[in-house]
Amino acid sequence: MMNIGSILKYYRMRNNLTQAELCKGVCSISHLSKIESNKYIPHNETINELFKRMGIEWEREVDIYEGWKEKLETFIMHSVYYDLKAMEEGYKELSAHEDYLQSTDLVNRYELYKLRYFLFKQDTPRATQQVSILKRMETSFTEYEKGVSKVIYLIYDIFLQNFTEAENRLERIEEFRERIPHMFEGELFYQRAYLLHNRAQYSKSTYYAEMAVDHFRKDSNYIRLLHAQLLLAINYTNRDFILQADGLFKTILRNARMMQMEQLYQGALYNYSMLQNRRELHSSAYDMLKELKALLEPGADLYQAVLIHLLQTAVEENKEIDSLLDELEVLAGRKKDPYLKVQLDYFRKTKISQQELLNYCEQIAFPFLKKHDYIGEARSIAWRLANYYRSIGDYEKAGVYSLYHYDKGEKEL
Amino acid sequence: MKRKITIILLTAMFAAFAGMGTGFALEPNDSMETNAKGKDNLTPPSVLPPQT
Repeated sequence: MMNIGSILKYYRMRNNLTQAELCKGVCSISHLSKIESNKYIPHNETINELFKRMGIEWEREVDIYEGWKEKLETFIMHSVYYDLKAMEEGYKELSAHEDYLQSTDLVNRYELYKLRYFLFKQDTPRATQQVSILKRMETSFTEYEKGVSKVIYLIYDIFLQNFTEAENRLERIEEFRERIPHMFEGELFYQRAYLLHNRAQYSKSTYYAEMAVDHFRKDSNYIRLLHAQLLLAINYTNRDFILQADGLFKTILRNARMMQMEQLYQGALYNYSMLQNRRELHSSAYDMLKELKALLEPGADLYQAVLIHLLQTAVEENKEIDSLLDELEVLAGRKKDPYLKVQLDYFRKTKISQQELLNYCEQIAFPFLKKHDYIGEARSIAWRLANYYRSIGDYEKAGVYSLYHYDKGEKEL
Repeated sequence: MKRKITIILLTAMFAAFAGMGTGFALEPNDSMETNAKGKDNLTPPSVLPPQT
């Protein structure tokens, strides 16, 4: 039910009336004050009279409220089905009437999905600000709103790479069998798969990605379905489920192209080339990456990943890497990203000697990647160092690196 | 008799390999190539579908 009192107060403030001025001859000030704080539901006559004084028809107000309620619900649906463009338009309209929404009981849902919207836009400062606003409102959340908030906070934590906090959140949801609104089930599976992938837990991530795919498919949530399929294909790749991964990549590439989802197409192509490298089809991987590089702007995040992956593929194929190294050097200088510097130095060392490369891996690359939670990269370096130390008979060091590799990898229980 | 031979053989093998481990460790192994195949390579950055 809408909060009549809050709406009354909203219009009184807009008309610059004091409580005494508005209620004179209708009811007492303390009575009005109780109505305005939604502690008391007044008779229709009282309400009609109070609104009439401000030149407002109550019935019309109800219609307006229902109209906004519907707009908010549409906005929420757009967020569930990942319709970014419609969300942008919806947000523009809703935020222009924020004062009104904040005077009704729609406020909690509006503020919650505002956070969801900022996360879509990857707007970290506004999302963080919105979280602190929501924290203050939490006591007034209904059960349903609490359920919504749990999923959106989870998305927020994963977005900020607060993985440990996100894991704790998921544990609480599981342990207390907390209720999550039905329409969020697919999203919850997806986020879980995403988090587990970041933790290099590929088999568990596969399980949840499959659940997300099933859910999105049943719900005809086609955009999110493609996202979940790509995540699943990447997990298959990491586990060397070559046939499954290959089939799925082809499906995603076909559908992304038909649906004109450029970024998704490029992401799928990048990961497909990863699969080709793993099955030692390096020249196929090399061609795909060349095609992809030509599609991208040099400033794009994907561009630098493609460049690094091209370097790796070229090294596998014993191809010349000088021009790629030059390009990465310019990029690393411009972006001042220490991760790029590590990649650059790593590939430079491949041109010098194995001993220098291994020293670099041990003294700089491995500690850096480990410290900053680049688990996949750190594991591959640990694997290489372990192999090296085993080959020269230094089993103690080999043990240390093997332990890291296995400890950060799958744990089959 | 059989047992004796086994012990002798084992002793001989042990003697042949004694000290080899550290010997290998001290010698820098630069004969291997720098390029690595498959799993030995540095994993390229992961590119995932949109999370948010």
